[in-house]
Amino acid sequence: MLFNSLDFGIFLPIVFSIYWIISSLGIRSQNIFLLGASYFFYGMWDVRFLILIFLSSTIDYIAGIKLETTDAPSKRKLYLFLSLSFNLGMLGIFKYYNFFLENFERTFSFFGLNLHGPHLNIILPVGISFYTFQTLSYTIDVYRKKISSTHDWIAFFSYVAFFPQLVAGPIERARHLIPQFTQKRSFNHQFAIDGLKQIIWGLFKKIVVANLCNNYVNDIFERHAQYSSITLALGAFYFGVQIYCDFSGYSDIAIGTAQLFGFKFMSNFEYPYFSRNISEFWRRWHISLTSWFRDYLYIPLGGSRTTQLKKIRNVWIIFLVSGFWHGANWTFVTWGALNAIYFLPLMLLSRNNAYSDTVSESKTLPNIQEFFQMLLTFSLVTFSWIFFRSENMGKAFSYISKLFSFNFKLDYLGIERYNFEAIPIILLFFVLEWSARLKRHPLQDSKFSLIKTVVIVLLIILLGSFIENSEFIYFQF
Amino acid sequence: MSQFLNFLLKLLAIVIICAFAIDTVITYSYPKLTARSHADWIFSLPPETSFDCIFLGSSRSSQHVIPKMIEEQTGKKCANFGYAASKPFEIKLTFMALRKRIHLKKVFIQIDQSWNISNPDVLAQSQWMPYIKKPEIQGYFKDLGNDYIVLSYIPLIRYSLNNPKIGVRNLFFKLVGKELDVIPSLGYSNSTHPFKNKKISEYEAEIHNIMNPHIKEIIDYCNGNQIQLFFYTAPFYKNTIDFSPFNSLVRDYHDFSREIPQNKFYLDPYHLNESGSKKFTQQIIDYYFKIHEEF
Repeated sequence: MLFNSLDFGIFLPIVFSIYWIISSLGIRSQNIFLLGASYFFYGMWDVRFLILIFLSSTIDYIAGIKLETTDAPSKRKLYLFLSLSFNLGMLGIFKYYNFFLENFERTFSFFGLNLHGPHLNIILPVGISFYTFQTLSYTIDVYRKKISSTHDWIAFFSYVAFFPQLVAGPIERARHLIPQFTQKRSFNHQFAIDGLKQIIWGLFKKIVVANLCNNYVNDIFERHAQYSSITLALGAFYFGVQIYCDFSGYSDIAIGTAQLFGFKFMSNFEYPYFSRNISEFWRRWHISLTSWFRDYLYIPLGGSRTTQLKKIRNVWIIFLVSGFWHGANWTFVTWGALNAIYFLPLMLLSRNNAYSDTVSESKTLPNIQEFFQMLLTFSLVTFSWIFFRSENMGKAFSYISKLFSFNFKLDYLGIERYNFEAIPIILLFFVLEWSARLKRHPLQDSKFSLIKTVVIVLLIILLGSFIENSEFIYFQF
Repeated sequence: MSQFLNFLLKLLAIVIICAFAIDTVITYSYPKLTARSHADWIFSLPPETSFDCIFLGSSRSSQHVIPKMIEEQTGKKCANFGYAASKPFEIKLTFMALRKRIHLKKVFIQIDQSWNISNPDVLAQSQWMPYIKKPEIQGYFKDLGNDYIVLSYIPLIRYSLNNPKIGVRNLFFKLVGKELDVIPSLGYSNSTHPFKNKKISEYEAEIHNIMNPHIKEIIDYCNGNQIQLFFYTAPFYKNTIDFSPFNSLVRDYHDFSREIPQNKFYLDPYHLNESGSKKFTQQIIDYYFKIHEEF
């Protein structure tokens, strides 16, 4: 069930109404109902997926209790190991097994050994990377004694499966979200109205901007050999806009939906394309995943409080793992490596924490230096997206070599549009984002908030692309 | 909760009122602005317009028949109202919209394996959406059932769902006066871009030996109104489809599908290039206008 589908348009009001009607019955009833609704939501993709999420929840729930009730380090390690093995094992089988097998086969065939292992004909359960990381945060935090285990299985299962963030995040930490399932939730109309506005803004990003860019991106990447450098540069630019609007649009809808039910999620994107260097970009992009890797991988490895050599090693690990998390393809690993290359000079020059504020906080427009810093950061990120978008390394290199052929002809695309036709809408989008960069989202309370919301709804209706294939990009991860 | 519902209702009410207003303005202005589609072209034809013959069909009509060449050689005024992806349902819409605007004498319909399709084509029908309430074609959309109700009565939905063809982009081009490029050539489209997804493997088709309901309506109307109707199949590159069922399904059918075998005349397996179109138009002239005694 997609957030931008009619099914969800029916599902959400029904679940919302029943949820608040039964609030008088107590928090447990609300949690049971949310759990049922979330399983229904997830089961709409494929009922078999429910088995996995149920097993993952059960194992982590039991592991949490066991970890708390024993003090013996060896036993605690065993419980942690069992939980990690199951979760990462499932992720490995469903997401990475065939990839590793193919690469082993290729490596052996390079040495003249033709080995063929059993390939699995399985589909990747939607959202497995997200909810696996979410449950892992719980087990690890209980192991580290940062949180107590929960004995309310309904609350825990609801935390794992909560439908707004189940399939593509934000990856919520147990210490932040589980307490919200155990506290009484009362309806706060301002909080809910703000949530509704954030949903509308997320839909605008997805249906208007991302879907529009999708038409151009698909054609330009698919037929890149026929197009000029300027068209390929635009193709990469469009994909940069598409992936941001697609993924942050999803996050906005998830955060807004959670607010309708009285939950507060962490922010997942904070205007990353207005970053002045790569380090700032990574503090503002997919925050829930970046901070997950920081807390559960980078810091345990020593983080930045270690020798220079180990710091470099840690940066490489974090970016490569982050790339690999996105998918079993060398293109994602290369994308991660490229970002590590961008990041390392900043770290070595101690410039990685240079910008902790928002750009041009007290001004309407950026100064020349800020503008060019943002442009450079955006260009570097956009270049790395070429690997992220390409189906394989061969196509990525082919795209890049054509991009640098310095042919500046303006092409007429295979979608009956000139290559610059999406620019006015993208410019409008960036102007709206820029003007709201100090807020959580552009429709957040302001003097003309209602009028702005009406205009955005009308723009969705008028400018939205409704008939194209519009699944969210991050569902595949 | 009441404050939330109050906000929601206020938001919905304003959006609906605005949507109705915008829908009314767009729909009212549509035929009055520059013609961007064949539907616009037809609905903006002046009442005194007259053609001796018209050609209907898909891009295999618009890309293949050159009306000005026929006029130069025969003195007969022709127009080509074929357009990309048009199937029997859209051919019927075109015919029925035209019959109210111009005096029809001779009508040529290009038929091929799309004969088997009775449903509307999502892209091809989209250009008719602004005119869905026009009496000439309203009935045919009503036949589609619930879709008609949704498309007619929910404001802006027909524009939103057909955004690639009749959305804001199209409105912008209408406002700046960018006319449908085939109007000056009376409907002949001299496209130099090969059409996408057209492969020879798509020839694996068998013509259903039953009458297409939309074509039947056209035939019935022509029979009752002294309009001469001719059917033909335009050339394919290396055609393998058996079009002989058309000989028993319709009167005055001619199969040109194998008439131009040379590769050099094709843009893609389905469509002729400019010299191919000239060659084919000459075949049309020779077959119908010079030999056929009715001309």
